[in-house]
Amino acid sequence: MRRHRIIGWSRGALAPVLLLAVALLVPNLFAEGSYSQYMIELIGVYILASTGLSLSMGLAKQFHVLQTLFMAISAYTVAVLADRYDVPFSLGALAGLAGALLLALLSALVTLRAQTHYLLLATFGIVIVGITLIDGLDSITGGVNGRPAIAGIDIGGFQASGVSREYSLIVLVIAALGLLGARRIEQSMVGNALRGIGLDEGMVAAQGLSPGRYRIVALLISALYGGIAGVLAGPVLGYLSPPSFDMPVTLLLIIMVVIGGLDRVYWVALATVAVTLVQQSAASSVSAWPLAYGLAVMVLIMLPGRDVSRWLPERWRPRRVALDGSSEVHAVSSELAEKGSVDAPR
Amino acid sequence: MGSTLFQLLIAGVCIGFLYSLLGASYALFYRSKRSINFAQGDIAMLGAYIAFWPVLGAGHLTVWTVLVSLVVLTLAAGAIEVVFFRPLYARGPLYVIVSSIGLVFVVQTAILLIWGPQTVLPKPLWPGSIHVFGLVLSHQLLLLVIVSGSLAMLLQLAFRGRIGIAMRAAAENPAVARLSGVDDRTMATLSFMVAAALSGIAGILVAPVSGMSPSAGAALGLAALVGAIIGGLGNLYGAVVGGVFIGLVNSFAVYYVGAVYADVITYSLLVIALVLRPGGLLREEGMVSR
Repeated sequence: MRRHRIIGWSRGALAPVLLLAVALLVPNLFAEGSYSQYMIELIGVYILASTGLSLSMGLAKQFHVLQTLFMAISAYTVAVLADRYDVPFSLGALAGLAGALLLALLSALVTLRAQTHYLLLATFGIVIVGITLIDGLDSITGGVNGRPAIAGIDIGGFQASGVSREYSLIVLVIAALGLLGARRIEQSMVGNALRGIGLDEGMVAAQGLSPGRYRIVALLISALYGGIAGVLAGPVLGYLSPPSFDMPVTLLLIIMVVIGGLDRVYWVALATVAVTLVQQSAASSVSAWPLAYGLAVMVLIMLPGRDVSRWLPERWRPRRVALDGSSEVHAVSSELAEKGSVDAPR
Repeated sequence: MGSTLFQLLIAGVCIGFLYSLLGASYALFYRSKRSINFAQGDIAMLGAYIAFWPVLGAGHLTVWTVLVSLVVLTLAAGAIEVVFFRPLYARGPLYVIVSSIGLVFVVQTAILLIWGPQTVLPKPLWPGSIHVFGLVLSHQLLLLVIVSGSLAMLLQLAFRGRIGIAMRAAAENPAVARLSGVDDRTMATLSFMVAAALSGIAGILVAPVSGMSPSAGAALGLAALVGAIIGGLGNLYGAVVGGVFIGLVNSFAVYYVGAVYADVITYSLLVIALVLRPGGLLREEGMVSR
């Protein structure tokens, strides 16, 4: 039987390598303590966060706004454990990731029955509760005034502080690995099941898989990426406060994913780079930037193709065997059937 | 103790009626397009700023000022719906939601740039107060309850008629509605404009009570949205019931656990409501169950 490939590997696998190569070949980007270095680290953090959101929102169509809360949980956990209990970075980072995953699991279990905009609203409620708790627990989190983040990382004697050459490289390498990992997930059995629940949950159930379980998996993957982004965000931000993880940042991530084409992780990463550059330069130079930002959101979301790849010539766009929804359902179904033991649809 | 409880009850019901009116505006748009305009609270605040602009600092609001401001607000809302929201309906409710969050930024920053960041407390529309069982109740709060309650009920009656049926038809199946002579696009614009007018009235009513500031509308709108969801999105009675419920919960929670944790209780209720009863306490009448 002919194997249906949803997304090709050929050109796509090179993208993270190119990302690293371009960053390394431009020497000015790595001038010690420079603004461009801060931008590189911020972009790396946002790429991880938006990739996780893309896998959940784009691939599995699980629309949620928890991503920045995942980041907040891990960033605050690492900072509080290091500051109060002298916990080593590696253990703190693991605890931060565990916190983000636990929040994802609890949120997924609570919102299991909610779908589409109901899921969005339910997770919106969870975010407001979470941010309010961060505001309220000022003895731990510093409340509205915030608290210092960890200054850098320390793994087995290797140290790198935020906004430095070493830290920028670490963030970029982890972001590139995150992108490659996301592609592996997309093309795996789990990825096909996630794509399946985004297209037709009945089809996934018919293949003998549990849609509910894969909805939880989608949120856990999102939390894993958000948690890693949160751990790395601390040294970049320098200071943790609720506005760093509040709704405007969540909206920023959603815009990156929507402009990037929802489920195309490399294009989402490209959109992340563009949106971060525009947002940061506008925020620092224009007093009315939220107005321009809001207007840009309203205009960009109306673009016919929605994703940046549609602006390119046909032959440069990411390859997809199945372009229309029904064919894609067929292709995903066949892929699931091939990897499982169920008959492919005729 | 008894008088404190009574005071909390009265305050909760009063602010609850305001949430009801704003909740009705959410319900109206949801009823026609199955989507949510997150900027509803900010539109309310914009309406208040436009209305009180000529009389800020001195003088009382006149009926003409209110009417002109509501017309301006409604027309602006209609233009926004046609230009920014209409192209997104075919893509699904989430695109409209994201666009409306963008509108939140636009409206808040516009208010900030035009009127500044300070909180302004305009003079009440109906000065004076009355005594009820030993409690002092301002006329402004009374006006808020009367106008909000009446408008929500009038709206419910109006939408039982042809317009309400046309709106539901357009939301359920636009193609079939079009075949029956109902223009779903006009219905959406109409509902968006009426919702904006309702929000504007809510903003004008609440401004003399809690003041006006660029971000005040967002908090107001979100609380009203929680009420509308708990009551049942798309059901105008549900918006009233949910609004009063959230008003009471908020009033008691602020007193007993403080303002910060009152929000935790309010939004936890939202999550619980969406999980246990996604359709709300009162489901939308006449809708096909899915």
